[in-house]
Amino acid sequence: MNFIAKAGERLIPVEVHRHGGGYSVQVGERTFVVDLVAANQYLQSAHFDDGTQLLIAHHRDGVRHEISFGHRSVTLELHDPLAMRRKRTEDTSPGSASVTAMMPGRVVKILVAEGQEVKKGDGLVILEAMKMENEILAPRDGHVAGISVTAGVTVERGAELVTLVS
Amino acid sequence: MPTVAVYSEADRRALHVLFADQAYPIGPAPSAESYLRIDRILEAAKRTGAEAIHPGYGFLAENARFAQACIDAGLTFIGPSPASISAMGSKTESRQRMRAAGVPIVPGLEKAVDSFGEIEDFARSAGLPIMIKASAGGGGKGMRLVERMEDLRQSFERVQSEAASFFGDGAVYAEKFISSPRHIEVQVLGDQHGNILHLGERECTLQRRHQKVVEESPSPVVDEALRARLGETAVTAARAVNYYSAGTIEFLMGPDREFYFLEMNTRLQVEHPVTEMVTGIDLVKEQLRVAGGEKLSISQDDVRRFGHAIECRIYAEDPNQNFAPSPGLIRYLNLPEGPGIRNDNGVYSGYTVPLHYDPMLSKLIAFGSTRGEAIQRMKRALAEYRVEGIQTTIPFYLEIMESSDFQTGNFDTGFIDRFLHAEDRKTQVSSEDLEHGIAVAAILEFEEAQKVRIASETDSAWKRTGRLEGVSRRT
Repeated sequence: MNFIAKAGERLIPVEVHRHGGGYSVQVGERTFVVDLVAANQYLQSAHFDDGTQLLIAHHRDGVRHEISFGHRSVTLELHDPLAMRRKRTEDTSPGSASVTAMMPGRVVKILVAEGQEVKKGDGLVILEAMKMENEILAPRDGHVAGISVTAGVTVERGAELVTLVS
Repeated sequence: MPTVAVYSEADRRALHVLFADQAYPIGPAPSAESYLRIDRILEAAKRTGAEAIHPGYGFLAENARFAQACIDAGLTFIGPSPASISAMGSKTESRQRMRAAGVPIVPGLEKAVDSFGEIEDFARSAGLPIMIKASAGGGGKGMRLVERMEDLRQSFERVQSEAASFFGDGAVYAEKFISSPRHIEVQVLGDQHGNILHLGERECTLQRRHQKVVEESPSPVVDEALRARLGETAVTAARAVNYYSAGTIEFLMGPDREFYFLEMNTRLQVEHPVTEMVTGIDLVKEQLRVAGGEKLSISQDDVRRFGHAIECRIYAEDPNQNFAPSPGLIRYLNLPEGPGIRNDNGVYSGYTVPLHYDPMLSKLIAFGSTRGEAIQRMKRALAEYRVEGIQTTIPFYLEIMESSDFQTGNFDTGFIDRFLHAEDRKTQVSSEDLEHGIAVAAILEFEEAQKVRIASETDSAWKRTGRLEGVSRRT
């Protein structure tokens, strides 16, 4: 089975086969022979043919995979190579970007108004979580095309707060 | 002793509720409508027949009105007298009392203020840097350091807003900021018969955003002579407000080892385990004895210190995302064990960490006969600690334990910020980790695809059978 792994901007071809009781996985230039067993509902024990043993927690959210090795973790996407090729031709690059909540929290105050010009680093929204007020800053210059939240509402991580247009 | 837990709607599944003999809901998630509601807590005590209330170390633990309300309701408040709490609870009154008692203090405003103008005047006369604090604050909440005049107004407004929302009082206070200080505090213990003793110091210099992260006892820079001087000063400070129960006198200590009274915490502290580990004294047990009117079970001469203890506060914060809060579902938890390891833990596998409260999940304490051994044990325990599903500060503590400045005891309150901004700090994902991660994700995706295929085949067989049975039953 083939995938394209996406990590940051890198695209890496991946191929998985059954191999004995385990698997053989080609990741880019490297081939790993892996024995992978579930230790419980959330933990996997991965044993690599060079002797490396890793206790791994895996979490999947759509095409996004979070792999935790305990105190280090990696986040990557796995795509179907055919679907990815289709999607890339459809992609356009819009001039607007939404500023999202990097954590769940309660919107304390909105510091900008629709149509307002902002500079990179200007405060947009104050978000409170776990007894701390955090200012969400403009990632770049632009003007505020939309505000998706109101003061007092509680938002999830990744929720759209403000739309900036350059 | 049977226990009753009170809880907000957000804490229905909190560990303290699950372990209590009785539990009593006191309102919705916002603390102003639950944990800060004195009337509801007293009602819970009355309904359940509780005789005494331990206020813990947050919310109303340092609220004199609450302590008084307990007494008025005929309950025992497990802590000091309301008079001691209010004397030490006001930053300005406590400074006046300490000055009168001959305890050294840092230059600051004489009283709490509401207006920006008064803060501005103080900043001009004392010179920057200054620290602006919520007058009713504590625990590192509601305070900001101001180093530049142009930041003054914004910091003042933010502290005022935090003060109003977390402590219900918008008054603020400011004092001169001592550069390169250490934060050294002394545990005191008193009874209602006038006995007060100290249990030595805790080193609480390692702080981030004025929140303690790693504490230890003894301090690597305090010798016997300095310890005796700190202890005597702490006992003088406690005696000046007729203190009883467990309390902590916090000092700022400059590089010249001169120390200044900062504040008193009139409650049990988060970091009390390190003192318990090196003295063998159970502080909560002593609090219960004292609340019951008994004398302390020990005298100053009985206090023997042995070994070294370090505590790391495990927070639900992501050290790779500038410590952004990381509430959410804990899918898996493995607490470390082994010689000299203590966990004061508040969470479990399957628990969802709510976003409404402080991000502290648990405390990990390592004890050793020497500081070096305590560090080794802490490293081993941190490496074994697993929290999956949310991000925690564990990897960050592993880095600190490895740092040579920490190992030699060479640090001040600016250590964490400098450490985080150090150029050689490696937080990049290694290509080895990435490749291993990709390999595992791809295998799991492959297995998932196989399962779906098998399931769909099985599914159709079941459906066929079901349809046949449905038909046969209908006839």
